[in-house]
Amino acid sequence: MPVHSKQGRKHTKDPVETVIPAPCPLSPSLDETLQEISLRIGTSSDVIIRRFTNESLSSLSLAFIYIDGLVNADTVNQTVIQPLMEHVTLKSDAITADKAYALIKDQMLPIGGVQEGKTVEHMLSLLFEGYTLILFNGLTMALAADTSGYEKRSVNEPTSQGVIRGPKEGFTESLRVGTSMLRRRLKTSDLRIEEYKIGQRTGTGVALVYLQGIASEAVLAEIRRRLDGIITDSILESNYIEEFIQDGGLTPFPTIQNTERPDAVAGGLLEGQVGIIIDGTPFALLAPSTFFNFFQSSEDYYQRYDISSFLRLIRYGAFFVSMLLPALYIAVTTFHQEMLPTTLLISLAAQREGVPLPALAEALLMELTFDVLREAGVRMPRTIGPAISIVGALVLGQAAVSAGLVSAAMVIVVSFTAISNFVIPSLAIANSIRLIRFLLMLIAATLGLFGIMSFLMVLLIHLAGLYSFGVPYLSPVAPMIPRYLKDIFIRVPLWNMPMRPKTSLGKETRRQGPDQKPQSIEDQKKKAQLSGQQKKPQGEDQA
Amino acid sequence: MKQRKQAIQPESNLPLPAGRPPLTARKTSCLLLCLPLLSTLITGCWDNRELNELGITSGSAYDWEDNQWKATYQVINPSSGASGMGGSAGGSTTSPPFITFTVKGKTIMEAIDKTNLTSTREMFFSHSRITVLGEAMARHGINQIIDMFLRKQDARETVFVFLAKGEAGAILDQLMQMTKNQGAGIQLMIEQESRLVSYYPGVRLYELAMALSSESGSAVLPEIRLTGHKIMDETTEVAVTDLPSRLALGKLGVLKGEKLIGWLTQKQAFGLSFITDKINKATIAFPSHPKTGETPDASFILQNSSTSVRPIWDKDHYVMDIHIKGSGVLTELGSDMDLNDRASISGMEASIEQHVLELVNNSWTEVRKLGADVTGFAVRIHRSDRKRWKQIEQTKSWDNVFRDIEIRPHVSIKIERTGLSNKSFKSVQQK
Amino acid sequence: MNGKIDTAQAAMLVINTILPTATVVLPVIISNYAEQDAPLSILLSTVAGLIVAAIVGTAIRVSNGAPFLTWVGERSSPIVATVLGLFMLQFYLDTTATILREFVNFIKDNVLLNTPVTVLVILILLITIYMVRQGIESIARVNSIVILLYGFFAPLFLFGIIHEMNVHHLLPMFDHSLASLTLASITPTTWMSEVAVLLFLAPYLKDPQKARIAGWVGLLFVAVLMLFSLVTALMVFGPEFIKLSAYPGFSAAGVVHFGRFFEKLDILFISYWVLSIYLKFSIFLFVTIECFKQTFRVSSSRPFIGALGLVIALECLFNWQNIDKLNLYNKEGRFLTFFLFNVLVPLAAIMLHRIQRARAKRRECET
Repeated sequence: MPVHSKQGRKHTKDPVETVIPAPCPLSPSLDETLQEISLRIGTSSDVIIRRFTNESLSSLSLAFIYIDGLVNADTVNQTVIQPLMEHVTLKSDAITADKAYALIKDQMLPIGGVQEGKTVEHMLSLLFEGYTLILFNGLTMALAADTSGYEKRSVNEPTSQGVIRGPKEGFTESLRVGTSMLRRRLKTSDLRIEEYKIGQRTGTGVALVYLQGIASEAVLAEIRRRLDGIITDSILESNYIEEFIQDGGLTPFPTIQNTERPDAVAGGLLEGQVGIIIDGTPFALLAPSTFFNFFQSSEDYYQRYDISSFLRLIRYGAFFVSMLLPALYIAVTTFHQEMLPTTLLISLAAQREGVPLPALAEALLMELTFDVLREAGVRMPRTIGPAISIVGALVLGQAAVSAGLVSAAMVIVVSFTAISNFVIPSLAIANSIRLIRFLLMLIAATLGLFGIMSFLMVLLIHLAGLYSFGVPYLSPVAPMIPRYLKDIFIRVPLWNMPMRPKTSLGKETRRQGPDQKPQSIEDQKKKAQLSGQQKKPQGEDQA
Repeated sequence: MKQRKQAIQPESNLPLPAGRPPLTARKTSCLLLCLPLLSTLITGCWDNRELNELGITSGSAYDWEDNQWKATYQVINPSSGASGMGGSAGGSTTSPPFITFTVKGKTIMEAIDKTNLTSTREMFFSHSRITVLGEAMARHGINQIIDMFLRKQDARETVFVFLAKGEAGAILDQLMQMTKNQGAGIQLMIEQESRLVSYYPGVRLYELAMALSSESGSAVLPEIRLTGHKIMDETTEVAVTDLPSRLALGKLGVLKGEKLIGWLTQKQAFGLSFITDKINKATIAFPSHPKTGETPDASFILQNSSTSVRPIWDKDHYVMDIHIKGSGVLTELGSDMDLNDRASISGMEASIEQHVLELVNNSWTEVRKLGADVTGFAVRIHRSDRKRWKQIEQTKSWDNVFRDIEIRPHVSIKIERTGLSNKSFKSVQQK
Repeated sequence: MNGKIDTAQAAMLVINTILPTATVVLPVIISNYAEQDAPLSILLSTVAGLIVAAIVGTAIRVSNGAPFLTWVGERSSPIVATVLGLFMLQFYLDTTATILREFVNFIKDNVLLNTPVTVLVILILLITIYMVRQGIESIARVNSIVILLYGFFAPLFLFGIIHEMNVHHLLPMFDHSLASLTLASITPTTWMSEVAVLLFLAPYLKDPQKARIAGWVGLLFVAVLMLFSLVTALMVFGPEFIKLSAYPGFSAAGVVHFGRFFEKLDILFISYWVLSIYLKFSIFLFVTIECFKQTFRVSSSRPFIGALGLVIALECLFNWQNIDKLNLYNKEGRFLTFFLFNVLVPLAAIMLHRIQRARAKRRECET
């Protein structure tokens, strides 16, 4: 794995020089070519160069180059080396390099992916993808056979976005696996996969996937433009891409979704979003994404609509709780004590007796403590994990209260806030409010509810001015487009959503036939009767 | 494989509406995100009060003594677990659930501020439930108090107002059983009373202000008093089952203008509740055979009652046509009677009606004697007879007009159900 | 930077252009004259407001959404436009400053008693400047969200207060002479005439032909909501008590309670009100800046937002320091200036247009 070296960063600063080196053509002399290649690669132990020489005639001299670990050794041996070595014609004296080249290319490689190349750079980039290069002495062309077969993780259940009902497979680090998963879900000729190679040093494969006709052309053009514009030396994870192409530079809110779930990507594509799958990470991107997309979980569509509507409302509630609860607690207990019920106020006051810190400091302390715990939980080796929860829950929670450092109410507030944060299906937006929460607490401690409202105003206006690839971030609520509200706060039954519920769409906005509401036999009979009375032939059609 | 050309193209505006110079957007959003931070740094916390700096008052009382305001505050002691019905917040149970401060001052606010000379905490009035006005003060005038309550930001205009004969401050010292927060306890008492018994209306401060500023210019306030002479103000003293001295609702004070001018007895107050349509639920004791004996031997729960008052100008004075309609359940019967008989039911109904009529008349006599329009007749007249009201208003003759008012109460009570038994127990026994 | 706003959004903008300060300032002034007949005077002033909206809408229609002062300049002479622009700028600066003052006064009276005015003014101004920089489209979007929240707060309010309401407080109806009703409706009329901000929002309207409808719909909603707040306050407190209270609507909110548990919820409603007045203030700041832009014919107003904001802050801090001055202006001075700028100016513009058109026609006939 490439690591950020200082060298690498320097290169990105000065792109023109290093990014486009003059292509070096293959030399007719095999020796020179090999020399050039080994100059480029250095003496890496995993690069295997095997020469194949016809001893009787020096005219035909071949070399195989492949990288151990990137190729499947069996494939190389059985489909490249073995046929070439055993073939009679190649051993004959009369064969010229030209003929051998044509012969090998057309007849001797039982492999699907065979490419030709004329430059060293091209050959090298193929080499790094697991191709086996076949170089010929006396030719300025070379062959590359796709023998790639490196170790990859098998398809597992996504760890970050689990569901109770629904497909349990997630993307893996392999780009091909990812695209294949989409192909399997979308068996249509409209599924388009455009591949990019981004990053001079990582050469990461990036696939732009969309459904022709459903995705908006304007959005597509914009994403292509932005992807083309990325000049960097490394793309190691989808966030690299995300940061380079997202709208609104310094917003704390994500304008691109990320997901580990192929079904979520497929669902997004079907609603006009564009997916970006990046080699080397199981996290794919979906754009354009509005604020409300982050509250939709793919499980919403795998469960009954009533419970998913309820859950979705809970998520919005949890979002506000997670963002506002500590701030509201501070504002109410230090500014607006009158709005608390008396009994609650008295018990809160009783808890605060003897607490040395002001409410703000108490809240900040506990929130920071929680964030430390959370980070520790992520970094901890799995085996020590349970220790963290014991230390966190018992020592910091209970002991702090009984020691009189913090009030019990504050512990409740902080833990409820933390739990609420995990309800939000998208970690991206959950993280963005983690920071906003602190700002809100500060302003709540200064100006009370008025401060909170002022800050909310700023947030609202910020969100209203935000776009994701040309789609207003708060659409379809602001600007209000009522017909798209069917899948925002609640999810209506699927048969009631004949149109794709997204605002950025291509031409095909309809996704299912009319009258998809399930009908009982009685309904059908009645309908048949009615239409039979009105128009006979149509009634027959329906039957 | 595509070899992408690496054109150097800065991330810039698009034809789409996202177009905004990103730099300024960044700058502004950065500025705005720093804003709350900045404001905390530069400024302080002006209105910020921590909970443990607050003296949460649950009730206040005002007396007029030596031409000075004497204010008493009941401040909740949170650590005694005074959160209502035996809170579990810990703390010692021997410490009193609240403490009281008594201060004097030329004005009310001066008195309040003087509290800070003796108290460690800032008085916080938003959770006051009751305020008790001493008789001397009520006779002196209560406008200033009402004004203070309406003007002061943290004072609740929804507090319940009571009168106390003698010193009001003493009421606040009394501990209550079952309820540690005495102010809230008294509120519960009056709310429960007006919901179940309806002798006295619970009067909240804004309602008092409304009544005093209305055309009638009069209001009533219930009295709160101690049943015994001793004030139970030690926590050890209330650890008995039968307190020698408890808080209770007493009479009904009548205010005119801003001053207390007299009292109505409980019976008269009950009658007044009928006139002013304040009955929610009431129990009426009545003689079941009014002909044979006047001693009440049956009770009736009035569940629904409505009163309509219609003023009629009769030559030179007003006649108020009062229609009281009610219905309810028979709950007690001490005489020999068959309830399947329609006649006996209507006999009882007539007896109840007679009883209510007496209450109303009795009450009216007293109200008229006091000359304070606590019946709200002025409002009725204004609403139904604007022209004459304007005359009255101009000549300021309402007091005289009021004294001349004659009332014509009509009561119709219906016994809707007779409970779970059809005959009186007495009638069964004799057979 | 600035997108376009559609008619529904414009109507919602009109609502928040008028309502936030109206609910705070008006009830006292109206009920002093009209007592329980206050709702009638609201209706009266709504009618007047509808006429103003018609005039403004017509002015926008004939100019077809062109920037107002530029259009006036084309029709008459640039000097007229500049002079008019200067006056209007002064007018809008004043109005915006009074809004800020009303905002700050309210916050000081009700929520933050000890916080210095300067801090509040600076904070509010900074936030509003940010809002204006985000453009009218963003403002309109947020505005529509805030308006939608009425759907939550109004029923909540009603539900919490329904036990305290007494219909009889509204009686006797028609107790006041037409004269006193008219007197009472003068001040609300000035508020209703604020619909004239549409004149400066016209360049941003998607459909300038429908500006009149936006104005009307907005005004009708304002009338309904004003009636709602006034009638509920009246039904709770009665006419006499309302005169006494500085902010009757919010005093009524103070009485709102749900059982014995949630009481004294006025701060909740104040918080909502804060959102709406932020929008009102930002709309006016936007209009002021638009006026400035058109008067001085600058292409980008960005560099001037801060400066104009500072002027407004200073005017608010030092000119409107006295509450009695503000009240006097609200009661008496306001009507005159508002009538002049919100009614007469667009009316004159229409007349100008008509006369010119007639003249052009005549010339056509002659030739």
